[in-house]
Amino acid sequence: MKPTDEQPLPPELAQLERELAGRRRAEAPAGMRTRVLAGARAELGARRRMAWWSFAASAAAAAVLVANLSISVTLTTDYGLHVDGAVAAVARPGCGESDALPGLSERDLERHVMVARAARMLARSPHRPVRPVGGGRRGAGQGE
Amino acid sequence: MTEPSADPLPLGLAAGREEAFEALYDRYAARLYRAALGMLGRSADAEDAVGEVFVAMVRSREKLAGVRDLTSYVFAALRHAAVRCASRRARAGQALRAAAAEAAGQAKRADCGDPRADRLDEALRALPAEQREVIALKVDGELTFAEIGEVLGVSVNTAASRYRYALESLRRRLVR
Repeated sequence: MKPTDEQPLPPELAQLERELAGRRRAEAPAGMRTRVLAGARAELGARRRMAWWSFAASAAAAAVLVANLSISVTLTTDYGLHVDGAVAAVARPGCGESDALPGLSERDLERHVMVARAARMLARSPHRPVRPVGGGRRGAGQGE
Repeated sequence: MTEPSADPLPLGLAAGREEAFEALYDRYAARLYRAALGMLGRSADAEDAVGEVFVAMVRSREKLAGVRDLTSYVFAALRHAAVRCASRRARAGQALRAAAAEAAGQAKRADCGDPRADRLDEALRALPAEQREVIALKVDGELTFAEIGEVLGVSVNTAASRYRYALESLRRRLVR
């Protein structure tokens, strides 16, 4: 037994303790090591498989969620592609665009309407004049 | 029992390394088996309890990285396994009778012609489970009172006095 911080036992109990410690020690049955470690190994494998399936299920759930959100956003977003009514309106005789672009096929007219709509949705940005190349600072050697 | 220690074994166990479980077996299995045999009195049950300890260690291995006193942790797991094993045995009356018969047979086989040793074994088996448990942890498991206190969830003094009381009870049975 390991040394402990216990209080000393009375002599008769100390003698009994020595007798207990001096008994023939039971040995583990043959093959117990193999059986016990095989059980632990099987449990380790089961845990790893469970972890993999858990990861796979989480990844699949995340993929389904992303796909679902993406489809939902796509379905509720108006890209302005439904121009049939607008084309019919501008194709009427006397309508501005039809008059300005005479002889256009319905398909080309549809494209024009889409471009015009897209241009209306563009945000305005401040105009910055572009300097000509080399027109700004003079070269280092020119002033000497 | 759950602060980090300098012992690298808990980290290996927590990482699920097989060689760490082999090292755990080599370090503790003999003591665990003897202590389980002392508590349960039957070789097959003792082996089952040790096996359950290892499976439980695999299942809760994430917690092992923070274990400070691995010895107490392992023996606490053994105690739980022994309690489960004993209650399974108690539920099955037939198995209990078989266990008693086997324990008696083992005692006969272990008889080396020393009547005192036979009487000691007999008196040990007749002790209440709580007293048999503390003797098994101290003598067969070679635990200190501090470790026994951790395993049983009691103070060091209570563990020591419970052991002393168990020895007195055993002595009374021997002198009868």
